[in-house]
Amino acid sequence: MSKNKDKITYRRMASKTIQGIKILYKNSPHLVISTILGSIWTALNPYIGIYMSALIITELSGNRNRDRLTMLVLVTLALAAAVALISGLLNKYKNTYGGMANFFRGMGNYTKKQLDMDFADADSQNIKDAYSNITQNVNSGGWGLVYLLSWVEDLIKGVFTIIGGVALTVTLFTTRVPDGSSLAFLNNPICIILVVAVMIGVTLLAPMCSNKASSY
Amino acid sequence: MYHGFLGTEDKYSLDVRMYNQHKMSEKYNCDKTGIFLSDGMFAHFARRGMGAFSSLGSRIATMFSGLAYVYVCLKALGGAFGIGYVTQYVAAITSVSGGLTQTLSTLGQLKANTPFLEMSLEYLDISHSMYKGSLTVEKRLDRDYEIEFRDVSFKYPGSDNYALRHVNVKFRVGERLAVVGENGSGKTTFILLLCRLYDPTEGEILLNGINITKYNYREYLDVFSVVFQDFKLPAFKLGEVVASSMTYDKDKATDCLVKTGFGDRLKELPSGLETTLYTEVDQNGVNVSGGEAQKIALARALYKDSPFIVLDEPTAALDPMAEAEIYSKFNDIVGDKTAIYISHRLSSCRFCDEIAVFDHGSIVQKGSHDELISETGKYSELWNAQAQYYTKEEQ
Repeated sequence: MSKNKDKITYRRMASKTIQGIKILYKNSPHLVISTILGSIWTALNPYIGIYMSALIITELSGNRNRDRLTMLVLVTLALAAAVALISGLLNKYKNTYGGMANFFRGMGNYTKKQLDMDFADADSQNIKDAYSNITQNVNSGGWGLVYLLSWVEDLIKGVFTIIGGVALTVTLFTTRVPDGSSLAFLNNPICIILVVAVMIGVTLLAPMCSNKASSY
Repeated sequence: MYHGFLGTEDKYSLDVRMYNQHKMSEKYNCDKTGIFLSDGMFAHFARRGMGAFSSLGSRIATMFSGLAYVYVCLKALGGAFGIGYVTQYVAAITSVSGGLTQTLSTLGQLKANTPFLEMSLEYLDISHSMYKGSLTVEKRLDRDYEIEFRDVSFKYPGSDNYALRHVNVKFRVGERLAVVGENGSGKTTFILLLCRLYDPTEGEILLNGINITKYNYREYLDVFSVVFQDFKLPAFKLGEVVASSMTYDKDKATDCLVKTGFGDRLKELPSGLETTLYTEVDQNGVNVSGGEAQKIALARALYKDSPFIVLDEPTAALDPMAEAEIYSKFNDIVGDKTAIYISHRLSSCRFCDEIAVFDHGSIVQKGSHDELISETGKYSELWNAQAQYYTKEEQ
């Protein structure tokens, strides 16, 4: 059993990652569920604070209506408390099933497999070498199945961070500068597309450089 | 890294000190061309491509923040929205950028992980090639089981050489069969096939006239209690090890340990059957000697109380007194079971009903000690090779 050196496409990556997550889910469904829920919540909950802060600052720099300010502050405090409670509950849910136990549970997949194998296979040098390679991969960089969930967690966090940020940013590009202003050119669709393209381009370039560095 | 760990490994400590091998270790450790050292492979890459791309990546990310601030502030200056929204948009854009970076970076890692993941999935997908039947093994109080090897030949997977060739043998009920032969003659392979840890390449093995592949695998294994030559005892409680179960009959476990000569030692153990073996799991565990471990392994085989008991060099680690004790109690230990006994000490086979002599994978002789010693053959050759040193001493 050696590494398949054929070109790694995103489709192949997605297929194998999903297969791996299914195995982890089969052994510990609560770990997978708690990790996914936790990462979604961690990605989205900062936007609650950002949104409420923006409303308060807008009111302070504008009308300064006392009643409205009081209401906004109270709502912000209540939401902060709710966020903290939900974060705590999700953390507890995840920590019950995660932590160091995750490593042993992950390696337990291989132990179960070895005990289930025919003795002829378990005694085979090829199988012993394969297991040795797998263990070395885990120990040297967390490669393989055991730490797969932590990467999937980061991926979900990243995706939902984007979704939340885009939701709060849409109005940046749709809100128009008054036509009489010298900066009205910012309303031009070409200008908007250019700004978005540069932002995306710069954002894409940074991880591409990091991945290139990692490939060494 | 190996040379760095040489000094911390217990098993090397005697030899490293005796032969000053730590000086060799220092030489390797100080060699700057080592993989993690200043002239090594990683340093080489860090100074060139790897370092350049890594620093470029982090600088580009910083540029993005500046660009976001400029655009948002220009729009606010133009009157599109108030100051509150400036904080919202800047924070949101920065988060989107961070999220995009994280997503792409993670996708890169997942891509890099794919070949390793495939290795793991391939390993976990290894299927059973051994056919396992569903026939129930008949439970017989009279232990009237008969095992027959019918023209069995076997070669290990990947090997061209046969480890067993045309073996034909039948075990009588309650028989004590000794299996002897030189190293590599096929004795242990014979046991592995008997216990169906491997299937024969040719021929068949029968239990009460039925091919053993037809039986339920777990039930067939339960027909045998085996003490392998290279047995291992796990670091569980003594009683659990003997019974191979977390719940067990304490009286039965104690009785088995007493039969194998472990009784006196058991009384000395601080917690009796509740004592943990070895110190891997419990620092208050007890390390047992090789001979004591062998007695425990024997007791484990007795506790299982299977119709067939297989002993592969059961007294190899015992001192002469302990070995003599086992021999004197052999009939008590084995009882009415069918016993197969492998030993290199031919004198210990004399109390067996029949002796099968293996040579180059075949049974070349079979009979009692007196019959075999009177023939000119492999058995008398082995016997004389061992006995000559005792007879010389007597002379």
